[in-house]
Order: sequence, then structure tokens, then C-alpha cells
Amino acid sequence: MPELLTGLGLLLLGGLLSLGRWRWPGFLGGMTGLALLLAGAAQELLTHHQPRATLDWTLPAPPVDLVLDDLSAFFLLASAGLGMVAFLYARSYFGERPPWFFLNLMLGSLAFVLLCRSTLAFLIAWEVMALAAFFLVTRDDEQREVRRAGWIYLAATHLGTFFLMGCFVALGPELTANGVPEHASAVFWLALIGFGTKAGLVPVHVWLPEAHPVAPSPVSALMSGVMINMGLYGLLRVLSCLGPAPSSWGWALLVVGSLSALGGVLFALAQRNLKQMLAYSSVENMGLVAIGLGLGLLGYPLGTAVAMLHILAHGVLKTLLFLGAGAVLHQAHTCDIERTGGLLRRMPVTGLTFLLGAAGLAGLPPLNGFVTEFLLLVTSLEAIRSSAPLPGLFALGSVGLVAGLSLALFSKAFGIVFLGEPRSTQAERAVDPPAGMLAPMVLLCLTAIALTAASPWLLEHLGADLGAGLTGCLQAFALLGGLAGALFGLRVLLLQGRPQASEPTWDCGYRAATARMEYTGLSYSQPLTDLFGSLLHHRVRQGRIQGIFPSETSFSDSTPDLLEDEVYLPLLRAGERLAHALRRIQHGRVQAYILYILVTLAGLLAWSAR
Amino acid sequence: MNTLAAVLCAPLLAGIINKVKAWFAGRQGPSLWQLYRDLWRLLGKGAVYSQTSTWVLRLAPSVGLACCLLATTLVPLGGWPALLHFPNAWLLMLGLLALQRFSLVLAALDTGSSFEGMGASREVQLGALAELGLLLCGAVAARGDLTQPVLLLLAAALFLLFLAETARVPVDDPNTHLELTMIHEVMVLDASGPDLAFVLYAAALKMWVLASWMVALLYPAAGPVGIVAVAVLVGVVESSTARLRLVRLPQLLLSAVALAGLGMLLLVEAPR
Repeated sequence: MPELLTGLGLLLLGGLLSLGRWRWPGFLGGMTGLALLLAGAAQELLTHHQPRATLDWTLPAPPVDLVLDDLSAFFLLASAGLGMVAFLYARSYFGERPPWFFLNLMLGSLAFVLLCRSTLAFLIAWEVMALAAFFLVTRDDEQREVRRAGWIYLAATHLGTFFLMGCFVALGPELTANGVPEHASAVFWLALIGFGTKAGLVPVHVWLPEAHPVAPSPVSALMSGVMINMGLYGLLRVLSCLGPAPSSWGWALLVVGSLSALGGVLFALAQRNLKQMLAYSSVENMGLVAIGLGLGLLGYPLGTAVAMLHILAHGVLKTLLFLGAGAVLHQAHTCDIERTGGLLRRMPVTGLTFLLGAAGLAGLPPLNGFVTEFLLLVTSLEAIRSSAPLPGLFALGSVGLVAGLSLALFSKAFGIVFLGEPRSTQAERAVDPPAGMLAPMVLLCLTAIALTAASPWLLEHLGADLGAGLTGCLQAFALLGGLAGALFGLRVLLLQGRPQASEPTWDCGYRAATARMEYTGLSYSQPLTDLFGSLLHHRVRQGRIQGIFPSETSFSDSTPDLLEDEVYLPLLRAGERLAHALRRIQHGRVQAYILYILVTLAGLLAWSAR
Repeated sequence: MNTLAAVLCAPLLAGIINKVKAWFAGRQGPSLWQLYRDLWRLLGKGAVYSQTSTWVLRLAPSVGLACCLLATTLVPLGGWPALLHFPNAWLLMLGLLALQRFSLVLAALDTGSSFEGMGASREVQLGALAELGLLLCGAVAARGDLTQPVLLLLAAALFLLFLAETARVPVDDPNTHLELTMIHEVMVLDASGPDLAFVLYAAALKMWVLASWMVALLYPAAGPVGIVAVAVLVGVVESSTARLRLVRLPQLLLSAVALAGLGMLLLVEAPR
């Protein structure tokens, strides 16, 4: 435990010092602090020796228990590791004034949340983490949309905390398993809403696609790869305190997970901002994790293990993609995919790493995204073969559809942004970012490959038995690599000494194709967005085309979040109207306020004397 | 064993289909070995690349062919076991076919051509629905104890999905010459020489893999005869039906999904 506390202290100290004249203590403190936390978590996972500590505080509350058990260590390992990578990237990305204070504060409070077992301190650290993230998201607050997104994030996270307060009141002061609490069911539902908000599960996901695109890219990466996992951690922690779960909880997670997975991928397909696509894809992946957890609660322990593995896979790959999107934004000054294109030629390293991440999250072999998808399907099949096949069927259907759609999504994300001809001059002039930003991306690629190779070992550590064909898959992956290499070699050999010409792209004999004639992102995903149009409410505004030689016309489209527009905004407006009505009695005259107090007291007296 | 058969005989399927079509039309038709000749000729040629393209276009055909080759090692055929056999290998087979699709789509987008973008866009739409259908079919078979009605439903669903995945009529027309209406063919407009040979051979292998998987699920005893039967059936369908309009295609695929789902419900309802 001392090294963990030192790590936390270093993070905080570095953050505080970076507020002064020099910036470097923030980076140094952050990196060393995270390295210590990483080492502590790795040690716990290998030895299963759980360090503990108790912190006294002067508040009239029980002392704070800190414990690092397997669950905490797993999340701490992922968070600290990805945090270090994001810190490396942030150093180049932010240039002059990186916001080390809030970055350190966010990761420090996040680590504290993982260690803490007292509900009050948990909530405080939770709130610090959320606020630090708020200040990071609103860094560019001179832009209107940034302020708007920050506001939505703040409101959403506080609504989530509101439900968590209720949940913790019902649960008691300790986050430990001591018997089944009285209102276990209420605790679960409140935790599902409260932690689900942080994780970005549908229907409480609305902040995620707002906040991620406007945040600076390393911050989006940290939020998407690390912070939203905390919602899942919270849910798992509360579940571990609640004893045996009734099947309704499992079903709730399954349904919420399927909704998130499908909704996330469909809305992602309809977006034109690369970072917004990635944000919706996080909703999708959190949904897949929830499906795994749901299967786990329904009696298929492999589901829980796969969910954990997917958290890890998604964390690494999504961080990678957000860092790649950050490089695009940094170099081409846009995240609008209709203004990019042809970046693979101009940014080869970024393009290659982005391709790996995209293929991984699309669930394609031979990366860890496929491993978790494969295992999730295997778990569903196990459920289908049992005497109660419905949950398995439900999970298989959702995962199957999401798999196909995410292939469409990530072929769009990579294909439109990195392939073809550039659609704007700024995209034409883009080059690879400096090595300080490239190295973290390459590092994450290598991590993803290592995680794939280590997946049987990881699965064993997560307490699931192997034999589900995973080792067979890994052997086949090696074979796939060999085969593809050999075929490519054969192709090179065949082409040797033969004419190889370079010509314009074939466009039906038309030789002057321009970037304006290229297929756009919108047209690429149109068949799918039309197919699911009744869900998406895709809006198109288009000028009329008149005459044989039409003059100029306009076209614009948007896919606003259905729930935000149709449910939350009307609700909030109704709340605002109610608040306006209440303002009548809040007019600032003190005498009248005293009268209110008097009337209330008299009323209470009458009630008690009854 | 199936791998060897696939590697040697896969291009024959296209020949059989074309022969059946010719027979229906009262023509002589191309030789059974036509695709072999085409492949051989293409392997001996040089190549032309689009100026827009990158290494993606050059690498994709090799990756796609590697996927399909590996997929043949995962499917048994009649009495011949698969080269690699482990539980749930068919999920990896679907994953490999998805990777092959991904590589084709990216190669198409790499050229920056609007035609190829169009084909890619259609391919991912139909692929998403077909993948769901294939998964459901596999799940039905994995639950086991198939009764006669379930087998019939499964066969219908699998055949529809087979037509879609192998780009045949009524989903796609391999003979059309109009870029605007094509799906699979339009994605490979800019492939040439050995690359085009790889793409065509991969498509033939994919057809063999899906056909042998179908036979393995429905009537394993048929073995290679089953595969030939599937090819003949495709030829008959292609001679007797017209291509569907593009907007109708999702409905066709969703009906295949619905058939597989219905089969699953029948299985679930039946007491074990």
C-alpha cells in the first residue's frame, strides 16, 4: 500500500506544482505516480496479496478503508497504463500549456475511487473526477459548442451522482460484501442508472457524444478509454456487495446492453464528425460489455470474464483511435470526415495505426476485438444450448447485428478519412505529427497485439476455463499472417520484370475525376442509415433543383440524438417552466420569507399535535 | 482434405453454374475450365494501379485470399474432417470472411472512385445483414436435434444467404457490364493482373467454403456431391429469376434472417 499512496501523492503534488511557474513537474509527477500505481496493481494481480490501509479524517464519519483487490487492481492496471500513454501524447499535443493539474487530478481521483471502500469518500472522489473531467472538456471554452457540451456533461454527471447517492444511502457506509442488504433490488436499479450514466449506456448516454468530440483529443482518449470504464467498475463493485442476483438483473443488463450496442453503432454510422463517431462507438462497446455482464449474471461465468477482457480491448483500441483522430485534427485541422481523405499517403504512421485500431474494434481477426467478440458469441451459444436459451438467443442476435454494422462503421471511419483523394486543401497539406505523438500510438498497437497473444492467459486469470476454441483461433491467426505474407511475396515475385503502370482511377472512361466526385461518408453509410431510418430520424435539408440547367443549390444533413431531442429536452423544458412558476413565491422580500417559515412551523405543530 | 479439394476444385463451381445457365438458354456456353484459364492468364500479366491508390490496394487481394484459404481449413466436407478443428471454428470462419470483405471494401475505397465507393457501400450494408443471418443459421445447427421442418427452414435461409454472399442473381449479377448496378464486380474494377487473379480465386474459394459449410450443416453425408448440387441449383435460380431491385435486397436478406430465427424458435419450443 505505501507505494500506491506515494503514487497518489506524486500525482497530486505534480499537479499542484504545475500550477506554478514550471510545467514539467506535472508530467513528471504524473508519470512516476502512474508508474507506481501500475506496479502496485500488477503486483496484486500476480500475487493476489491484497494491500490495505485505513485513513482517518476529521469528518464525523467512519475512517476511510482502502483496499486493492483483484477487481480494483484490474481496472487500476488498465487505467494507469493507458493514462501513461495519454500523458506522453498530451506532452506533444498541447504544446505550450498542457492542463497537467486537471489531468493529474482526474487520474488521481480515479485511482482513489478504485481503492476506496467507504461510500462517502467514494462519492467525493467520484465527484472530483467528474469535475476535473469537466474542466478538461471545456478547455476551449471560447467556442459556443464546447460550453454547451460541457454543460450537458455537467448536468448528466450530476444526475448520475444523484442516483448514486440514493444507491449508497440504501447500501450503507461500506462497499463490502457483508450479507445481503435489505433493499438489494433498489440498490441495483439505482446503481444501474447512476453508474450507467458514467459508462454511457443507453438511455443515459447523451453526454458522451456531446463531450467527447469537443474535448482535446488526449482527454477524449482518457475519457473514452479509461473514465467510462469506471461506471462499469462501480456497477461490478456494487454487484459484488449484493449477493446472488435474480434473473431480472441479468435481463436488465442484457436489454440495456443490446440497446446501447445497436443504438451506439447506428448513430455512429450516421455522424460526420470522426470523434463523434468514435464516441458513439464507445456507447456500442459499453453495450457489448453489459451484454457480457448480463450473461454472467444469468449463470454463464464466461460472460463476465469476456466482459472484462472486452473492457481491456476497448480501452486500448479506443484510446488508440482517439489519439489517431487527435493527430488528424492536429495536422489537418478538421474532424469533419467530408473534408478529409487521402490521409494515408500523407500521414502513413497515423494511418497504419488507425487501421489496426479500426480493424480491432470492428471485431476482425486477428486482433483482440475479434477475440472478445468470438468469446461473447461462444457464451451466447452455450446459453442457447442450455434449457433456457432465450437470453443466449437475444445476446447472439444483438452481437451478430452489431458485428456487421461495426464493420461498416470502421470501414467508413478509415476508408473515408485515410483513403481516396483529399477533399480539402488542409487535408492535402497534412503530414504525420511529431514523434512524441506517434510513439504512443505505435505503443498502443503493440499492446493490442500483445493482448491478443496473451488472451488465453488473461482469460485463465479472470477465472474462466479455456477450451472454447480460443487457442485454435490464435494458431489460425499465426497461420493467417504467414499465408498473407507468402501470398504477398508470391505477388511481388510474379510482378517482377513485368510492366506496372500507374494510371488515373477507372471512372467509366472519364479521366478527370476530382475529389468532389468521390463517394462521401454520407453516401457511403446511406443504405444503412436509410434502412434504419425510422430509428435514426436522419434529417436532410436540400434545395429544389429546377430547370434544365439548375443554378446553385444546397444540401445539409444532421442526425441529432433521438433521446436528447425527443425525451430529455422536452423534460428539461417542462422542468424549467415549473421552476418559473415557483419563482412567484421567491421574490426576495424577507418579511414574506419569515411568514413562510412561520406558516410552515404552525403547520408542523398542528400536524404533530394531531 | 477439404482444403486440398477446395484449392483444386473451387474454380470449377463457377464453370458448373455457367454450364447450367448455358444449358437452360440452349447455348454451348463457356468451358467448365474457363475460370482456371482466366486465372492462369491473369497470373501471367503485369498490373495497372490507380494513381490515387496506396499500399492498401496492393496488399488487400493477398489478405483476402489468405482469409479464404484459411477458411477452407476450418470447414469439414462429408467424411473429410477439417484441417484445423476446434470447438466453434465456424465462428472464426465467419470472422475470416468478414476480414476478406473488409479488405475488399478498403481496396475499393483506396481508389477514390465513386463507382467503387458505391459498391463498397452496398457490400457493407448487405454484409451486415448476411452476417447476422449466417450466425443465426450456425446457432440453429449448434443447438442440434434438428427436426425436418427446421432443416427445411435452415436450408432455405442458408441458400438465400449463399446467393447474397457469393454475389449471384437475384442479389448481384456477375455478368452485368454496368458499373452503376454492380456490387462485387464494381469493387474490383481497379484490380488487375495477379491481384485480380487473387480476388477472383478468393471469391471462388469463398463459394466453396460456404457451400461445404451448408452441406456440413444440412446433410453431411452428401459430401462433394452436395457442393455440386448447390452449384447446379444456383445455375437454375440464375436462369429462372431476374435480379431484384437494390432497395429490395435488404428485405430478401431479412427474410433469410427471419427464416433462420423461425427455425430457432421451433427448436426452442420443442421439448428436449
